[in-house]
Amino acid sequence: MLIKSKIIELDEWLFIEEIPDQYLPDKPLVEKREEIVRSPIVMNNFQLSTSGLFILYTNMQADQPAHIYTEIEGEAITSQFIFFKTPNSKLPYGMSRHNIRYIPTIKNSHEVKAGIEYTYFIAVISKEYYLNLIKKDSMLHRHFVEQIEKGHYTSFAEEDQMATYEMQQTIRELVDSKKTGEIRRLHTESRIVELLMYQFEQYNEKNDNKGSSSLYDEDNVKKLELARQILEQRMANPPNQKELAQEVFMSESKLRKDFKEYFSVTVHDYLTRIRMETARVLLLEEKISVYEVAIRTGYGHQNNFSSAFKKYYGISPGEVKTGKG
Amino acid sequence: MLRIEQLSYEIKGHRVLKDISLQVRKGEVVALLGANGAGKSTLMRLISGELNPTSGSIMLLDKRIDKYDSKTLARSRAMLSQQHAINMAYTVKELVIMGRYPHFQSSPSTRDWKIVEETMAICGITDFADRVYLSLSGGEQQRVQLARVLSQLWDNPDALLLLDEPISALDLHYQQKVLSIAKSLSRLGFMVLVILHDINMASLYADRIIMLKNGRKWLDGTPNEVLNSKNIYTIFSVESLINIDNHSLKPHILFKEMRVDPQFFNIQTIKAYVDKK
Repeated sequence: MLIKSKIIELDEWLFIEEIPDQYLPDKPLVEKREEIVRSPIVMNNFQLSTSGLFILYTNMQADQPAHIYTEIEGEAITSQFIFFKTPNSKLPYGMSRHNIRYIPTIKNSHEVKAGIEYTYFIAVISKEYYLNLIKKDSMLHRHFVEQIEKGHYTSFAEEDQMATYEMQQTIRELVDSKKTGEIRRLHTESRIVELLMYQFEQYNEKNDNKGSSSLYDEDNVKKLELARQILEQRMANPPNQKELAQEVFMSESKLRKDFKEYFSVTVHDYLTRIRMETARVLLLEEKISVYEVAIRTGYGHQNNFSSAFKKYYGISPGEVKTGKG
Repeated sequence: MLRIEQLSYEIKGHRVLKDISLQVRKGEVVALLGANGAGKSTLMRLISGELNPTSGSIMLLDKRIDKYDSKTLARSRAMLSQQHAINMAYTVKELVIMGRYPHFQSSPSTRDWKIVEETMAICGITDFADRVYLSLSGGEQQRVQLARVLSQLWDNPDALLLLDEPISALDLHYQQKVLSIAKSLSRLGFMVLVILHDINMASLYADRIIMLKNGRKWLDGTPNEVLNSKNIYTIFSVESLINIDNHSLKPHILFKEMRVDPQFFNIQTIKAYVDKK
């Protein structure tokens, strides 16, 4: 991604940042703080960047109207907040608006009115980085992901929303953090996820599209519990999702969606969970061979079992001390 | 089964819990983790029926908790709280038999006394059965309270056991012992929901971990699924390393030392200010 910004009236780039798109968990963060005093504008900038992520936090005020021009090249997801406060405002924090957008590429300009205190926050997140933070199949951003996949410019919320106290708090923690090194990265990532979560929550509340209203109907809950039981009982030879949906008289898409929302885990991950928890008991308590466990948990081939095992537990079945022999 | 659906709780305009949905099944130990003020204890008090939710519902064994009469509810769920306001000179035995109040009319039956005897033995308090509760140490008192709570449900394996920080005052042996009792009960069919601060204990004894943050359910999964450095940082703001114990396949969490730079303290300034006065 290439991110550039300038004040049109000054005709000089404030910054040009080239950010690689890849999500590299070990890549350190680079921080920069600077004050820019150039008539008509005074700004205090804080920038933070790493591979796949760019954050800008700015306090600015102009004595004459000015325009800020921003250009982002390359697919990105932005979380953007604007806080503005007139000198005689009765509200201690002034007004605010925010949104999450998917932008294949964008050029736009914002007006900075004279005499108003602006605080501007933007996190520009590469698509790869974003999908590492929030899983693709998460219910929170389903319609948003659909648009991303089509490559269409889209705003998460139809209308910008007011920032809540929690969002402001999270932004403050992001910007004011005194942490350095590895923990700074962990901190940043965790706060970005938190911020996105609060935004999703607010948008989804407004649209009232969180889950089908029938999710907790007795009948629906019975079907979901049945689906769960079927997976547990037939773990070694489970139905696929289409078959499972038919067995509980639900459409496949509704089963997937409601299962995830009700059990907080996808059908696929749930099957993995029960297989792996069974494998633990078989290996450690019943001291059964890896080959046999692979068959009993429905993996068929030992290699498939071993790689699923390693993914779930972080170690391979061969490294497990079964206390046998 | 315990089924919580879209539960919210507000007090004086402050949102303590927001849209919590979860289930606890027969035979399951679920640990509730979260930072101070995340809403764990409030959630427990809502589930026990002590507080009423602002919205949402709590179903215990397919019946809404607010539809239970108090006696049936007392036989179906019991809660070990963090605080116990006891200032009368009860003996240990007198306190434990209180757990049987919902089960007898005027005086306890032999069965009630048998149960009390057993739960006292299990909690290791038989030796001080006749001592005054208030004369015991904090950890001993905690075990007495646990025995009382266990007595309340002992003969009902369909029941729900709610434990709010049951091991906070206990020594190492009893920390493990209490969680081990909870786990054994779950294997008999009990549902156990337990608030813990020790993540490693949660990793050892819980089948599932639910993490709360700012009154929201943030994570819900097995210890192996949810215990990673990133999640732990998100919930507790501490740095950690995770090892998988290759004897048990359970995650073991090692914490890194936290450093606070003394230059951020205002001790010198305050001292100078005081000296000047």
